[in-house]
Amino acid sequence: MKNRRTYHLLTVMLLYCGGIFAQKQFTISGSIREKGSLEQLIGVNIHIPSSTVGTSSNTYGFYSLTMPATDTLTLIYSYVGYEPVLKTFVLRQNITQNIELTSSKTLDEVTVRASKINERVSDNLKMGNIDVPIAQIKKIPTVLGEKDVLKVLQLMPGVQKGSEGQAGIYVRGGGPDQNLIILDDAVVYNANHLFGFFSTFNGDALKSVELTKAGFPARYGGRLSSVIDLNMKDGNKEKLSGEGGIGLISSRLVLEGPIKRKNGEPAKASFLLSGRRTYLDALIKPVLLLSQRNNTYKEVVGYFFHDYTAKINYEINPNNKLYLSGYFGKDKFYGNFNDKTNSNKSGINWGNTTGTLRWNHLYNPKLFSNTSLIYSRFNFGINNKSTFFDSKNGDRHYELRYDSGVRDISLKHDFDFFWNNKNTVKIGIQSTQHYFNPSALVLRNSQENIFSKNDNKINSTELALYAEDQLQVNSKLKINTGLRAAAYLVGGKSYLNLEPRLSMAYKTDENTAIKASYARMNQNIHLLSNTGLGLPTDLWVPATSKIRPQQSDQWSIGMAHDIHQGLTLTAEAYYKNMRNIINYKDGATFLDIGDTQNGDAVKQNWQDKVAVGKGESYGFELLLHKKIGRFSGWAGYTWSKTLWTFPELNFGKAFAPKYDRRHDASLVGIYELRKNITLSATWVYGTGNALTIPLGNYNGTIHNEIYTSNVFANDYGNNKNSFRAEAYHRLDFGIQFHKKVKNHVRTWDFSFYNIYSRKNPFFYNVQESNQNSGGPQTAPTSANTPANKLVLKRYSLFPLIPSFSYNFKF
Amino acid sequence: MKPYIKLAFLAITLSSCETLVDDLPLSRFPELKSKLVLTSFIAPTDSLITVTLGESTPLFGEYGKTRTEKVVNQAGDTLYYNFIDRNNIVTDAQVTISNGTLHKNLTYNAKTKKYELPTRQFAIIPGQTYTIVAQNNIYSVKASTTVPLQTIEAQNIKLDSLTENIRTIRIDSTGKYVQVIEASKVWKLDFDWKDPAGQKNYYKIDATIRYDFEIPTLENQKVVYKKQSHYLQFAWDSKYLEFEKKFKTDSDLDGRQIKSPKGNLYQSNMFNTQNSFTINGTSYPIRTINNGKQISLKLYHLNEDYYQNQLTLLKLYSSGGGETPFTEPTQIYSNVSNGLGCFAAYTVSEHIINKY
Repeated sequence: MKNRRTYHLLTVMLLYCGGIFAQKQFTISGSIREKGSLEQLIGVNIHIPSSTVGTSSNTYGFYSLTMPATDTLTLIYSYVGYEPVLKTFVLRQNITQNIELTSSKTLDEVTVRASKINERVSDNLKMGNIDVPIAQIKKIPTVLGEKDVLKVLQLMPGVQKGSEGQAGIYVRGGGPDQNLIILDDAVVYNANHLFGFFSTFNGDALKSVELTKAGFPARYGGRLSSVIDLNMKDGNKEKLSGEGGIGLISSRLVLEGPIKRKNGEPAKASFLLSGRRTYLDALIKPVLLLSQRNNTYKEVVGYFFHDYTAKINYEINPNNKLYLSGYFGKDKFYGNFNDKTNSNKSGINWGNTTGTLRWNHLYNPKLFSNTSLIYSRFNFGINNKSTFFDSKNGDRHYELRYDSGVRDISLKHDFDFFWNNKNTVKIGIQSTQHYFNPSALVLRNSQENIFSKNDNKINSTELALYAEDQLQVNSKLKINTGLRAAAYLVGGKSYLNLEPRLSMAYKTDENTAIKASYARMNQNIHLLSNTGLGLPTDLWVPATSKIRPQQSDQWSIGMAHDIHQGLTLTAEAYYKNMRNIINYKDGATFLDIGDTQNGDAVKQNWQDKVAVGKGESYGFELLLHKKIGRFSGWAGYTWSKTLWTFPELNFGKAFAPKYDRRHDASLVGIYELRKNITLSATWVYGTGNALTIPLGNYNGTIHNEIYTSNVFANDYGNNKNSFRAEAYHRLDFGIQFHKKVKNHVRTWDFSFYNIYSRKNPFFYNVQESNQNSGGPQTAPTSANTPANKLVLKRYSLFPLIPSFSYNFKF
Repeated sequence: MKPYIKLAFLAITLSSCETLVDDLPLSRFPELKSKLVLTSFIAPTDSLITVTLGESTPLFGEYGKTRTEKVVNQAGDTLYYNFIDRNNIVTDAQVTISNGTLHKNLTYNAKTKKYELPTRQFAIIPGQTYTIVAQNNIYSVKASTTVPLQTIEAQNIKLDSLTENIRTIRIDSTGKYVQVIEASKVWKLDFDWKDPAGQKNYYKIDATIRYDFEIPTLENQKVVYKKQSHYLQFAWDSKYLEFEKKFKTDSDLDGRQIKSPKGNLYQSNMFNTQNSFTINGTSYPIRTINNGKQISLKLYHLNEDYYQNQLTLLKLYSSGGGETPFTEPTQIYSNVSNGLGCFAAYTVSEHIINKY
């Protein structure tokens, strides 16, 4: 009896194995590109019609799908904004199939046809994921006509802006430092131009933008709250083409084309160059000088920013490709003053530089690898140099120079293993060397013969290993599970953190999926910020032996529903806690350069100015999104609550950080009125920021102290940040006129920002009621400042701002 | 140009010009009013319980009345040379202190501008909790505080003196500030104490050297010498006086022997930049009374109210007292319900060191 049972079991097993072995498997692989430019397309969906079996193209447009041998295998290649392609194969051997998709923009029936294909959210495993087509970004009205990817991301639920006009991003209660912003694999530390009014990315040079706020795959790490993955275009391989615009404050140009194209064959190499510069300073300078022609002094102030990107790629052979890309951005404010008695030069400047060298290698149709060598640098400086002319005793010189910066060199090696039609495995390793200089100060005073230098250089090393598997368990359940091990070494201290990641999607019916995710994240870098404006004065500092790396755990649960073709509804709820987050202690400032008593610049350590605490955030988000069609756009709403608890702040009681926001809503609509006219409008609403505002002042008594017996103090109420600023809301409107002329398409773009001229708070200031102008000042700190009436003044930045720009594309 | 483009250009030209700065209405601040600032520090060793009552000034709105008044600062038995600001003093309040069973009124003293009660009428006992209530027809505030149970004695006091080269700034003969390096006598002080186990403890240390001078002064057209005491404090773990460093807690040290920070006092700091006064064209030296020298070492055992309030005030003082847009606001601790200020308690032990 026992033998018989064993025999049966063996037979079943053999039959089962035989079944597996009999069904030989073959792989279809290749790259997916845009027809015309041969630009590689990221995230193209490849699947068998009416089934869940499929895959998608990776960052380099490569795809691979392994299936049992068959005589008829049909695959659909689909991508938002592109005409889908249907292909049928006889799968009896491995097949290489490169695909070219046609952009619906180039088709005649511009908008109507594009609506045919939409990414179905209920089929997608990702949650907390936002992917806005670049073409849609270009249609949304903006301030002064500068199209901005980060500002469009701010219109999505769960993603908040800071103050008026700011490009700083706050995701699910996280700070602006907790976003991993990567451009072609390189970390961009400060993504802001002009104190955050514009982001550093020129939309014309970008291929894709994707923001992830939960359920992070294990391949990403190093920040707590979001990943913003930007990819530059590779460069047109077929013909020289370009895109540009002339706006009120800046102009931009992108040029791309093939290198050495022979006999109509697509080139092996192509390039992309882009540049953008503002010209306010050049316009203002002659006016300033003219107005001062009768003065005894000359004073020139100015500001500019510029950014350039460059990329070349070279296909050595179908299995090896090289990419070299770089980004260079700089902002500078400057002021020069000269008269008979003295001359003064001062300035603030900051900038990012990144460079990436990447090598794609295909080992076999199932195994793809990429190796990247990455350089990234951010620096910020303030300088002030004065000379007082004195013919009798000799000129006196004063100099103050303050620098802060971070420089990274990383090496990264990633494998994409398209194992079978159920598993896609990604494994990789990354090592980064950071060189921090949080604050370097040089002080020179020729009269007192003082020269002092103070810097706090710190180097640190990060090493990360990850593995993730995207698993199609059955026709209903998809799982992405992974583990990331992150080691961090600084000043003789080492930290090792394991980060489990899990996200899953379960289809309850044809159009609906329930999703859940968990992710632990670590961040070995902190941003010290006391302006909260996203000013570059914020200092990037490393985690040290004293200040541990930041860590978070986030759980989310959600639902994704495809209402009908092109219209989706997603709802998500999340809970996130954060540990070892930092904030300046009361009374601290980045300009606190130390006591210069008796000529010593007393070495001040930023670590002494910092309080360490924890935070928690929870909320829910709703998004009704229509990505395509004659009318497209979205409606988003977020309810959230964020609380911080720091033993050293607010006497240990929990308080709302500045960007705790109960309600955040946005409506975005784009309507193709006619073939050549696009209308767009956005409306946003956000609860006011939580601020600390003085309500009164008094003399506090110091007990038994000889040198001081009272301190003039402000009364801030019982809780930190207990004042709520007024709510933020505004309506923008845009209209674009497109026209195809000869060999290019031109677009006139008119934007009306803040159409009902809502005076949104930019900052508040305590001052006398009759005082109407001037920069930020503070409450009188001496008890007897003469004043009749003090008020809290609200400073707004942008009333109704109409603007226009001229754009072209060839 | 197409007509609709012309229209759009026109709309842009007609862009509105209006002010972007506005006052917030006072109705946004329902909490806006003067508050009563109550200040009282009590210790079992004091002979007098004193309470000061002042008014805070609401920041917004009109303020015609005097906001502060000057009061001469007094340290120990010597009138100190500067004036300090005080809040509008409230003189008509009824102030009561109680220990739960006994209630006593404090009387306003117009001379000291404080409400007072001798401790022989109402003793301050270690470990007891006291409540002060102060009210008049505008204000009513209440605060409670508990006196620490133990008085902590400094142990193993060590005082050394040595000579160090230090950098300092002097005024040279042309009146210019110059940086010089000069030899200076330095006193180093350290000691320790035993932390009472099983409770949170807060400490403040204070070591002061008293120097007596005779200062030339013009009185009735004659130069006379007047005695003046100067106090110089030891700096802790630093060359310079940083008030926060006087404070210590027993976190991670519960029940253990706590080491004091390293105390430093530089002789060059003592004489400042001046050693004579010029009166009517004649230079008169400042006379030092050597035997007036003594070091007083005080170890305060504080309750939490004292620690939080004084530390936050001193941090504000060190940050320059001013709050610029780039400075984080400093919240001042208060345990006065419905008001501001602090009611706090401490015990103190003192050691006088004469030989040095």
